[in-house]
Amino acid sequence: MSTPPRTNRPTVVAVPNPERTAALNDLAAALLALGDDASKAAQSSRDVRLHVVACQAEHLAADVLDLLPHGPTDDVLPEGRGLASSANAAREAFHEPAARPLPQSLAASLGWLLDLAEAAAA
Amino acid sequence: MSGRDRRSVGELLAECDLSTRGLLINPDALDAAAMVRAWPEVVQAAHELLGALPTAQRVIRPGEGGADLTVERLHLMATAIDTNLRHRDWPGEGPADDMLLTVAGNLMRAHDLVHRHLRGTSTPAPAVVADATAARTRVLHTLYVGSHAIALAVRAQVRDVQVRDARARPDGVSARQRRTQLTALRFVLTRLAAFEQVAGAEVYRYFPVATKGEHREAPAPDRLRTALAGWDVEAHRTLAAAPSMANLTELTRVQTTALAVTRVVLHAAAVHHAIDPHMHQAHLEPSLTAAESAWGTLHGTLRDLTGHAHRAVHPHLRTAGAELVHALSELVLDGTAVADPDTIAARTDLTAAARTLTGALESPHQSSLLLLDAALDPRTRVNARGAHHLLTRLVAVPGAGVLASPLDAWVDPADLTACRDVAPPAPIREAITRQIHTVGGTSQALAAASTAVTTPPIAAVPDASTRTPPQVARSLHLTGPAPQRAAGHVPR
Repeated sequence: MSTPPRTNRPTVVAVPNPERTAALNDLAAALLALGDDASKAAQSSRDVRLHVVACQAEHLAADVLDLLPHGPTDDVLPEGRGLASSANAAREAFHEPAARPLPQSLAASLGWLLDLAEAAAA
Repeated sequence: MSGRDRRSVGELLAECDLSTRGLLINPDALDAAAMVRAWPEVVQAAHELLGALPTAQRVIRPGEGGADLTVERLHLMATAIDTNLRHRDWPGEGPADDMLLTVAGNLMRAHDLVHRHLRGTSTPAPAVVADATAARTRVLHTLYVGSHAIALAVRAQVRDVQVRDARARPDGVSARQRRTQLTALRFVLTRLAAFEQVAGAEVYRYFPVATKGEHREAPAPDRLRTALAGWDVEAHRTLAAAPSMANLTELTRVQTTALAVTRVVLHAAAVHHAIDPHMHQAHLEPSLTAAESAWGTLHGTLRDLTGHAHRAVHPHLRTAGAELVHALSELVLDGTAVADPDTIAARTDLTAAARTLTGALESPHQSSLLLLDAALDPRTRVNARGAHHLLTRLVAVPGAGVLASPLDAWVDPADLTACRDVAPPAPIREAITRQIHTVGGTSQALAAASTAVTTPPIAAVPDASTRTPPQVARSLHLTGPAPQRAAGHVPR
C-alpha cells in the first residue's frame, strides 16, 4: 500500500480554546500586577527579593503571553493592591485548571516565583 | 519528540509539594471519592521513597527497611483506611484523582533516581544527608497538605449528603445508602484527622528550616560575567533601535535589580574582606544606595506611565534581562530567603564576584547617557490615565510646571476616557528629564567609587633622604590593595 502524498493529508488546525485563553490572560495580568506591586514595594524597602519578584513576574508574564496568539486584552494600569494581595491573586490564577497544562519549566518557575513573593510579602 | 523525564529529585518533590498545595486553592472542586481512592498510592510511594533516602549513618540498600518510624506509622494508617473502605460501599469502584496520581508518580520517579544515584555509595557525605533531610521534610509536607485537602473534600461531601438527606422524601433504599455513605465519610474524616496530626507534628518540627539544606548547583563561574556583558550589549542596542516605554521600563527595572543585588554581594564581600570594608562603607555603599534609589524612582515613573497592553519588551532585551536576574539571584537567594554573607561566601568566589560586579558599575552610567535620547524620542507614547495620575501628583510639586486649574488640561479628556496612548505632556517630559539627570549623576558617582575600589594601589614612595633598607623592602613587597590611599582618588 502506498503512502498518500503529504499534500492530500487533512491539515490539523489548532482550535483556540476560549476558556484557556482567558485563564492564561488572567494569569499574565495577575503576574504583571504582582511585578508592579513588588517594584512599588521595593522603592521603600531594601529587601532584594522584591526586585527579583518584580523582574521575574514581568518576564514570566511575557512567557505566559507567548503561549497566546495575541497580547493582553486589557490595557490595565498598575493598581497597587499590595504585594500580599497580588501574590494571592497570582497564585489563584496559576492554579486555575483551565490554564493547565503549562510548559513544565514555566510551571516550575511560576511556582518558585509565587513562593518567593509570598515569603517577601510575609 | 523524546518523552524522557529529565527532572531532578528536588524538582520532582517541589512539584509534589506545589500540586498538593494547589488542591487547597479551590476545595469545592475536589472529588472526595476520587481522592480517597488515590491516597494509598501516594502514601505507598512516599513510604518507599523515604525508606530509600540516606541517613547520617548509612545508605539504605534495596530491600532494607528504613528506620523512619513516623513514615512507617503514616503508611500503616493509610493502609488501614484503605483496607477498611474495601468492605464499604463508599468510595467503591471509580476513577482516582489525577493530581494525586501524578504526585504518586513523581514520588516513585524520585525513588528510582535516589536508588540509581546512591547504588555505589556506602557512607553519605554531609551535604547528601542535608539534602536527604530536606527531601524528607518536603515529602512529609506533601503528605500533610494532601491529607488536609482530602479532609476538606470529605467534609464538604458530608455536608452535601446531610443536605440531600434533609431534602429527600422518605425512601427506604436511598436513605440507607446515604446513611452508609455518611458512616464511611465520617470514618475517613476521623482517620484523616489522626493522619494529619501525626504528619503535621513532624512537619512543624522541621518545615521549612530543614529545606535549607536542599542541594543546589554551584553557580557557573562565568555566568555572571557573561550575563552582565549580554545585558549591556542588548540594553545599548535596544535604546538605539527601539526606545519604547516598554523597553525603558524593562531596562530601568533590571538595572535597579542589578544594583540592589550588587549591594548585597558587595556587603558580603566586605564582611569577608574580599574588598576593603572601610572603602565599601565610606564610598561604595552610599553611592550604590543613591544610584539604586535614583534608578528605582525613574523606573516607578516609567512603570506608572505604561499600561499592561504596552509592556511588550524587545525579546532580546527580555532574554538578556531574565538571564541577568537569574545569575544574580542564584548568588543572593537561599530558598525564599536572602542569603547571609557566609552563605554567599560559601557559594561563590567573593573576590572574583566583587571584581566582576564592581567592573560592571560603569555600565549604569553609560546607559543613563543614552536614556535621555530614548525617553525624549518623538515616537514615545504614554498611557493617558497614567499621565493624568502623574500630573495630579506633580501639581503638589513646586516648580513642576503643572497648574491646579482644571481648565488647563494637559491630557485630552477624550484620550483619558478611552485610555489612549498619548505623547507625554511637557511637565511629564520635564519630570522624566529631571529623573534621568539624577540617574546620570548618581551613576557617575557610583562609577567613580567603583573605580576607586578597583584601582591598583600606588605604593607610597618614601622620601629618598629618609629611605632606609627595611622600608625599601616593604614598599617593594606591598601586594594587597591600599584602599585608604585609593579613597583619596574618588572624584567628587
